[in-house]
Amino acid sequence: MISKLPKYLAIFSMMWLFIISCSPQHQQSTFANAGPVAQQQSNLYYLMFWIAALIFVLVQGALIFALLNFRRREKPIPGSDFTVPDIPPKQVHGNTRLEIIWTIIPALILIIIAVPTVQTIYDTYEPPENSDPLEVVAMGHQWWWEFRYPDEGIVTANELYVPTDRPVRVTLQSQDVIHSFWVPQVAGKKDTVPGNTNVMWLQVDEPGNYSGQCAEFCGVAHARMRFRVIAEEETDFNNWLESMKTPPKMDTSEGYGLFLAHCSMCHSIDSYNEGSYEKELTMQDERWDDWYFNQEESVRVSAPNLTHLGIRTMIAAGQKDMTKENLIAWIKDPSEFKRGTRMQSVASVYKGGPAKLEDYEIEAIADYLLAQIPDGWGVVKSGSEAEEEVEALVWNTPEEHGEYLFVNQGCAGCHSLNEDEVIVGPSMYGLIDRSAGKVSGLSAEEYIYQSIVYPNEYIVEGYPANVMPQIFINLDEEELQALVSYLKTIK
Amino acid sequence: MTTISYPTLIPRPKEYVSGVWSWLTTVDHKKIGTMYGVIAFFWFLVGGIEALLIRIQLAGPEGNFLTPEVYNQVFTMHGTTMIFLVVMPLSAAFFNWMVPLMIGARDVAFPRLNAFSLWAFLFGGILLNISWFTGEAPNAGWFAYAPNTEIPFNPKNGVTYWILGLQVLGIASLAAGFNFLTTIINMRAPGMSFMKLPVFIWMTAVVNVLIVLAFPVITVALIQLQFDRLYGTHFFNPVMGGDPVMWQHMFWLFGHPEVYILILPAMGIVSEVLPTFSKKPIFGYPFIVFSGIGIGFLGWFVWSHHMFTVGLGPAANAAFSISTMAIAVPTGVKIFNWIGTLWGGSIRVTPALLFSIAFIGMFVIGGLSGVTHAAPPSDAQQQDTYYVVAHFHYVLFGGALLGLWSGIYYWWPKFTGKFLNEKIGYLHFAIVLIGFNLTFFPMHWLGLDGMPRRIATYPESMGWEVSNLVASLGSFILGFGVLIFLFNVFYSSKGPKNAGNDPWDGRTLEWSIPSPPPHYNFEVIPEVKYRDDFWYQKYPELANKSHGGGSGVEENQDGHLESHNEPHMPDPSYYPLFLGLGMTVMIGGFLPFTGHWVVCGVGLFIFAWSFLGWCYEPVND
Repeated sequence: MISKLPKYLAIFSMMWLFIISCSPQHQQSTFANAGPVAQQQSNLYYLMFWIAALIFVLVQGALIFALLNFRRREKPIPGSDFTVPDIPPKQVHGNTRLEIIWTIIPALILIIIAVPTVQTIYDTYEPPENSDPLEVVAMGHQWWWEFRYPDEGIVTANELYVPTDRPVRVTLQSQDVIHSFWVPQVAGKKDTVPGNTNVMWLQVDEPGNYSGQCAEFCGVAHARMRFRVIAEEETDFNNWLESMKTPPKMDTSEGYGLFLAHCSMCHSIDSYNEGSYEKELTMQDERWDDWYFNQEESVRVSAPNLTHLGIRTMIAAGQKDMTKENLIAWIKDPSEFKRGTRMQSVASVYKGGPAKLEDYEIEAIADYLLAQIPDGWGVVKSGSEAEEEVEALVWNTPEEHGEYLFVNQGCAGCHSLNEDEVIVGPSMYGLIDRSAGKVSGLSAEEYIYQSIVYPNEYIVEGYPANVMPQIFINLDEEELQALVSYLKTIK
Repeated sequence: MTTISYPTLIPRPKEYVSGVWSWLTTVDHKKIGTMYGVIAFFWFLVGGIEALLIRIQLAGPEGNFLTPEVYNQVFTMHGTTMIFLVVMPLSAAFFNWMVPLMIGARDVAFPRLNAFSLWAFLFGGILLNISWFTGEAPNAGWFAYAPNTEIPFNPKNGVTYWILGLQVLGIASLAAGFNFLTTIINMRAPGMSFMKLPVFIWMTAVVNVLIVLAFPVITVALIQLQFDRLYGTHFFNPVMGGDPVMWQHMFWLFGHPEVYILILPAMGIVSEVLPTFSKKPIFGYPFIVFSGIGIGFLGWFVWSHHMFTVGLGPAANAAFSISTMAIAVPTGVKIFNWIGTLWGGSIRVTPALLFSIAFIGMFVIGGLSGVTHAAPPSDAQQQDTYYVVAHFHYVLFGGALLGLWSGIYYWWPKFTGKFLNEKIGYLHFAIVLIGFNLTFFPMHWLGLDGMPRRIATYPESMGWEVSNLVASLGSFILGFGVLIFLFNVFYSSKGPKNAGNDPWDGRTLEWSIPSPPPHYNFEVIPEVKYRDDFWYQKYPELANKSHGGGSGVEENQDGHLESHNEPHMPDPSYYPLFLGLGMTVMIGGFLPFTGHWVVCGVGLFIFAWSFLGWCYEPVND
């Protein structure tokens, strides 16, 4: 029975391979090659596999044959319980010719493998010469991916758009720990090492979505660090590039204010503007340094750029499809999708627990985010009702208008109205008294006005720069004046 | 001349003190070997339970049996335990038992140092696992890649436990390494020249050279990491100009020789089992020996194949790829010679032989899959996937552990005087082999289908469900197989002491003495004329026909016959136990809990006291 075991195992393995290869989805199969890099890598694997299969059969065959054929056969002596004592077989000590043969043949086989190996190492290292590759930077973060297009000035996250039939040179970096960029159908992995810059290249033959995943253990949510490569025909890809520079429809809904108050310290959302690329790079570094050097107290950390989030297909680094329900669930309690995410441990609105927001507020944020779609990209999914509501409101005094803006533009998320209470930014209590003469040449009103529009120029001592969103420049003159009027009244 | 006297606080224990103290104070290599084996097997059960937890978690998609935090701790400790607390000490158990017996010696070169190694191993394992009870087990993988091990990313003490525990275990391994090397070089029986050494002894020598050279590398790296974590240096912290890749180089410069430290002992065991049960000498002895040396030597030039995706550049990858492939040549030579040993033999099938055969079969699979990731472009798709998990389990479980089991069935009669039950042995073999292949074979496919390692869970619809479920079922079958082995041990311990001196018609010196051997092993130190000397004593007519190492007998070996009185053996000692304890407490005292310097100081005191006591320990008359 035991001697037949290997045979049963072999039959079982064959059936096994048959069963599993018939199951439907294999988004990350290294055999479903979708580009020349993965193709060359599997060609090399196939070469080695078939040689290995041959050696496997020969060696296991010889082993099993020897075991069965040279088994000791003790002959019973007829009519007794005794057996003929076994006689030692011929005492062979070795055979130098055989030794030479089975040293040289494997060495030759290895040379057969080594030559294409070295060729493929060099072929898959750099894009082909004269090929005009698209330059992309992939940054690994705990636990999401940042993708930059330095030549186009675009930053996005977790979904890498590439054109088909054109090499892409991916520059790999990391801000925190080591990750590994891997899209199995398109190209083998390469690590993103903090402090080092790696380069790899890939090319996709057919339009489509290709699943990728971080392959180097990087901490708690390593399993949740997925991403997608979205390959499009060149014209579609160029459309996408264009769209990423197009602002979404103007939106001053309540969701916008809540976003500014609770999310915008870490998430940029306006990287369609001129010069926003450089700004985002600096901001991301500053957010990171903030967290890295003061983990206990930091209220921000580097986070995915959410510009045009509405056109993304997945949320939370490839965890769920982009639907309103999923987005609400994600905002409400990120741990449900991705245990360990910094979003929940760092942002003041969570501080370790579920979001300290009402359900309708979360829904408003989700609506606002889903509405982040380049103008003309398609129909805006929702958020229009909230806009109408805003337009319907009427204020009797600028102060009333200002109070509405203070809450709905998110100022209240960080600035308390009570004396000496610090949420994130300084308290607004008694602002008017402090402001006069703070900066020579500016009246109190002018100082307040200026520090809303250009917050980084007027940092109050003891507070970090780049925390306050600089998006209030979107407010029109009347709204800004109303806000200033309101702030004057807080005493 | 003045005699230095040292106040003896405790007298040297007498030989044959009974009960627990006879074990705690022993310097007898056989007792130490037994304790190594028992403790290592305990950790094998612990590491096995960790493995089953992993498999429960991954049995289905979106598993939430464990949180990712706990899962990371479990897989880290599974790897660390199986390597440092199971396979290495199980090998050490065989070194302890077999080296003196096979070279015709009465003990190892440094008996007290040998006991110290054991206790350091025991306390090091305990220190490492205390972390479970403080709720902060190591969580950065057994490879502990920086900067994920640096304080900003890993503020809890888990990695510190890992560092300090490994330091203690490393000291244990280093002490054992020097000890066995010295023993093999200096204490061979008269006439046993190097080319007459049993292959197992050769492989032991190679392994201990590797230990002595490799462990200092990891020791330095661990000290650097400890300084990074506790004292604010930046060796591996890129934010402050350190280099995380440096850690990888140092870790794998240790880590790859470590792989051969794990596998070569099993290769040595197989090289003893196959000739015995084939009734033939090992085929191509010099080639087996030199291929073992070659593997140990080449093992130093391949470490970067663990780092093909780190971005060392095409030239480095090509060079390390070729050096890695080169290792397949001596490995192949070994396998062909084993088959050559079986060929034309008179093979007696026993559980020990089957485990050796299975070792070859499974090791071939692991070796062949190893060649496929010796090629960096192919490895780019396999690195950090379940394909690699499958590969190294075929090498380390299918290889090392099956080989060690073969050794257990083979030498059990020598250890205890009793046989392990053969029928239960076959059942154990069959269940383990089936469970093992069900667990790890599907992982080849999972890896090629894109499933990365070390993920705490995976989504639905990746096509990984069925293979994972089968692997999980297989792991429980495997666990059941281990329980059958345990049952066999208990069942067989009730059996009669009927093994006799030489139950398998063995070839090497250990079979010439009683089972279990007396504490002095050899009443008369044998004089060796041949390789497999005992075999030719039994079959002198075969010696004339053979040409293997029979010539050049040194006739004039002083001829000093030992007196037939019971030989004087080294006295037992308390100090190895206390030295190991003191050292572990001292090193554990570096953990940054409140008042840890006090603990460190207490440890230092015990350590210093035991050290001096050791140095000045008198000899019993």
